[in-house]
Amino acid sequence: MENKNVINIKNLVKQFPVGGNYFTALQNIDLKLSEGEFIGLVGPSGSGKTTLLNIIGGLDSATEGSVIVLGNSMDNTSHNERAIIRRKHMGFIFQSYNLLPVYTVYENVELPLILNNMKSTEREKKVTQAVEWVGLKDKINSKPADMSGGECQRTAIARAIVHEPALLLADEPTANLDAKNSHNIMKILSKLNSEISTSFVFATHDEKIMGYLRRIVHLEDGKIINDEKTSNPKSA
Amino acid sequence: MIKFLAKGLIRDRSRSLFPLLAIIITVTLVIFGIGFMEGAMNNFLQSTAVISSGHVKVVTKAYEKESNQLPNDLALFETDKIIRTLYNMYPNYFWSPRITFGGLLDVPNKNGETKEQAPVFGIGIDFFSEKSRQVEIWELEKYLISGHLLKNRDDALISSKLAEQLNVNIGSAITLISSTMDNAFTTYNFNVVGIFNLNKGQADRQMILVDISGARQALDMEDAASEIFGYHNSLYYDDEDAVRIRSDFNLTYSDSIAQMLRNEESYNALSYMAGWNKISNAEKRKLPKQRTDALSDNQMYDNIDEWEDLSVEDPAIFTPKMIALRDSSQLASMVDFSNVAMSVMAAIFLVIVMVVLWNMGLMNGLRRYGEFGLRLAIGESKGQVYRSMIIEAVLIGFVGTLLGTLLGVSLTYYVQEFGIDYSEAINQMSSEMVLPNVFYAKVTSELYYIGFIPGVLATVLGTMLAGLAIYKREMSQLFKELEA
Repeated sequence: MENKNVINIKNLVKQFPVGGNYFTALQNIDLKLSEGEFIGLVGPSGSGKTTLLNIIGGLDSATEGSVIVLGNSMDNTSHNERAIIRRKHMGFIFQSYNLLPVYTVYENVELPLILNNMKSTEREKKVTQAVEWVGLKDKINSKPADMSGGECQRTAIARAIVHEPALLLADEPTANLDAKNSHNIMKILSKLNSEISTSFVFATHDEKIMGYLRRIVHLEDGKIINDEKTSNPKSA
Repeated sequence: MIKFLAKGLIRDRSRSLFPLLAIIITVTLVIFGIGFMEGAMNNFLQSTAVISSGHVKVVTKAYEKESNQLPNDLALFETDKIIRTLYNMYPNYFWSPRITFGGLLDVPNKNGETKEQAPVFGIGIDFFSEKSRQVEIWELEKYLISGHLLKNRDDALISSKLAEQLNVNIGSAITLISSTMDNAFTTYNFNVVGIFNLNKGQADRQMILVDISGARQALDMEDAASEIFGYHNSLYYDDEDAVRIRSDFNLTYSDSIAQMLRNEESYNALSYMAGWNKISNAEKRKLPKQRTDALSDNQMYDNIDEWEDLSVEDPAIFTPKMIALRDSSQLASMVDFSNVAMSVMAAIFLVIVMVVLWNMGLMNGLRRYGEFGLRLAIGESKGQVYRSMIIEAVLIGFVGTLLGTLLGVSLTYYVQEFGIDYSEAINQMSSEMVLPNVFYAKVTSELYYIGFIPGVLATVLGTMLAGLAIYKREMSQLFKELEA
């Protein structure tokens, strides 16, 4: 695997206005992520992991410092440019799945491809493949209301990886799932990581998934307190 | 993407069906409400116009002052000539002479002696002329409950209330006892050929309708009429237009005379007037030269006060004068009030409906913040999301307004044709105003577009306001709402 930087963060500070003052959510963050990495941002609630994930995804902006994602300086890009980066090169997985309830599995997964103006025949091929990856072929015409939490999260994964993004950001992807489903999800993600060259960043404090991570960045009070590679991570 | 969004729109009832229903209902209400108010006011004005005022009417100045006495001795002369002039001056109106008279109606028994007697309010209208639209505007065919319309000069229609009171049936002979325009006693026999009920409260309680030729014969009013009624060809009362032609007629046909009297000829006229005051109205009318001169050469004047100051009776009392509907029956304040009230009610109605639809648009937008957050995360730009919201709102607003307009106009049209019957309530009321028993709505041109103000504008503005948050908030904030 080529050791190319997907994320390069230097001296990142993020402050939020609270009343007349500012609350510092992240301070002096330095982080590099190479292509194909499977990394977890781990820490208690309020440690800043979701904020860091949002800044990496261009959903929020840094107060200070430099954030370069996939070769794009997120400080110097417009909203529209960031939208294009996300559309083409990023995938998101959320704790509460966030599927569009009126659409089927197929249609939910198809959405990123529609945004990328892909032709319908090609879309069909990609969606079918993504749905097969997550093992939901028999549920392809179901709607979220008719599926279990695990199935919904697998649909969300299919939607996040259908356009084969360079970077996948997952915010507490197993928090709403039981142990069995959590392991299933992590196995799927781990398998995808080895099959496609997507880099994965998880924000989590779920002990169950720690074993799958190949690198863990510990956050506390907005600071990185530890950054370590794990030995013998679980795999699919 | 459009297909994708359209699919979602159709499936998500809270985004499509419910807003659509809300818009359809509110637009229908707006259109029907305004159409009904317009129609009800027009019904009221039209009823008054048909029975007592016309949209405009021409009378002598003297008749106007004493009109509640039905003073036919002060009636208009040479009505054919005046009507020709009126048609030339105001071709958008049609003009019809009318004789309004009071008297006693006597119903004889087999021996020719009085069986029943009652006061009567008679109206002689033009039934037979080709140009006349009196049967149409009185809607006599609709209101005739038995018998047929007039065929001869001596035929009469009698109101059902009066017929009941006098025990009169079709074919009965009735005798009018009244006075001629020269104040002579007169009796005249009419044949009852039809019984009508105008459905206008107490207005037709003592009414008979005869042809003007019969009334002229009975009251010795050859080429004379109490009033000449004018109606706009559309039969829709336009207050501004009526006031305009009234002012125009009085300025060009009546008031110019006053100006002439201010010149030296008025001095000569004054000396003539001294003798004028000593003779009766009947005698005055028998002075053809004076009257002809006065009408043709405008040798009369308008400023009655000046003549009264000189203790000389105004020779211009027989000058034709035009009165608009708003000038009769104390209707001015009613017309003004109704215009203001209509505008205020329509405005309030519109504002309420706009607030409702605005809020609907707003709530619909707020409810979808999570979805917007997701779409932004997946890579739609803020502009794309915002535009899709607006397009959706325009689409829903437009379709809802179209359907609402269709429904509202249909409903208004139905009530325009069939009306809503308030007979019981109206018959309980005693009022000098002519109130129709049945109120009809009115389909006006504005009804075809007024619904778009709340239906499209308010919905879209509400949605736009809700959508501004997409720009104002950080995407991560939208995300928090997404997660909530």
